[in-house]
Amino acid sequence: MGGLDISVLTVDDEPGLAESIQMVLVSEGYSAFMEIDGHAAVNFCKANRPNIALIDVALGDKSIDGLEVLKKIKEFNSDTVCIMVTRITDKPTVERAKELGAFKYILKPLTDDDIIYIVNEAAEFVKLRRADNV
Amino acid sequence: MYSDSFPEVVNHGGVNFKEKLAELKGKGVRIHPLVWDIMYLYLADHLSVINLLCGFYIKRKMSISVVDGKKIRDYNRKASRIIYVVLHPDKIQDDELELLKIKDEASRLGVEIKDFLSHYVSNRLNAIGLIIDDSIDPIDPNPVSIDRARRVYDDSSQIISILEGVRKELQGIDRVQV
Repeated sequence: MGGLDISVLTVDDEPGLAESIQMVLVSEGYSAFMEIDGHAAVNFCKANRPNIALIDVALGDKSIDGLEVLKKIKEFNSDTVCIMVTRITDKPTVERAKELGAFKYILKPLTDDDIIYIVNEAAEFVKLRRADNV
Repeated sequence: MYSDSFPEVVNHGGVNFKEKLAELKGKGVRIHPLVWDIMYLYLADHLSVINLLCGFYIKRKMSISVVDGKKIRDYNRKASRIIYVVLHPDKIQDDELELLKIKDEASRLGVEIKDFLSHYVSNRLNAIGLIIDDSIDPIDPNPVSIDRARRVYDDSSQIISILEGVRKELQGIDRVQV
């Protein structure tokens, strides 16, 4: 489904989870990358401009959370399709993510089917947008 | 060693967890939000790792590598510790700072909810531990067979469904999507 022309960055402070998500995405044919630190994720996006970013809202680093990562990514690259991953279900967080340009919002615990489904959906969006720009 | 006749360690008492949750909800049973938040904060990550790794290998019809088997074992132990201290808050250590926050509130959890978590979550985590520990033997570690991976996958998927049920029925929180 993915195809190596679609790149996905996973941002999660739990290394084992970021690795597992990356493993699933690579096997689905995506170019998958991971960062466990919000600042590093922003730098990665500046340098590599991934097509899709899966961002954990509650990163362990108190200096930057997932919403701030989303905001910074969107400031310099509005084309990156951002999916927020979280355990938090409060409406203000959802609304804020929406305002900042999040594409979708999914809740942990994650299954491989959840991830594949939502990333495939984002990939379709990326491909449609590419087709529109041709 | 594991075989097809591996003992069924999860006794569900014949009651579907959804029926049990509905019964608890009807009785007004709730988990204190602080306890729920801490429990869910950790379990969500731990269960995600276990489920993603098992799903990955099952779909490729491959045994789980020793390295990833150890990862599953470690995350399962972390998840088991969380449930254990929720059920036995007096066992929270002074250096477990995040968990100390729930010590008082977890002590107030009623017998029925503790019984539910023990029955439907803790037993499944124990089952996962038995299956994985048997493969990832410290002296002679082996890959985790597909049959075992499927068993672990099923148990972790069921725990995820149960937590979803608890969120909805006992916390009153529905999924929201952008």
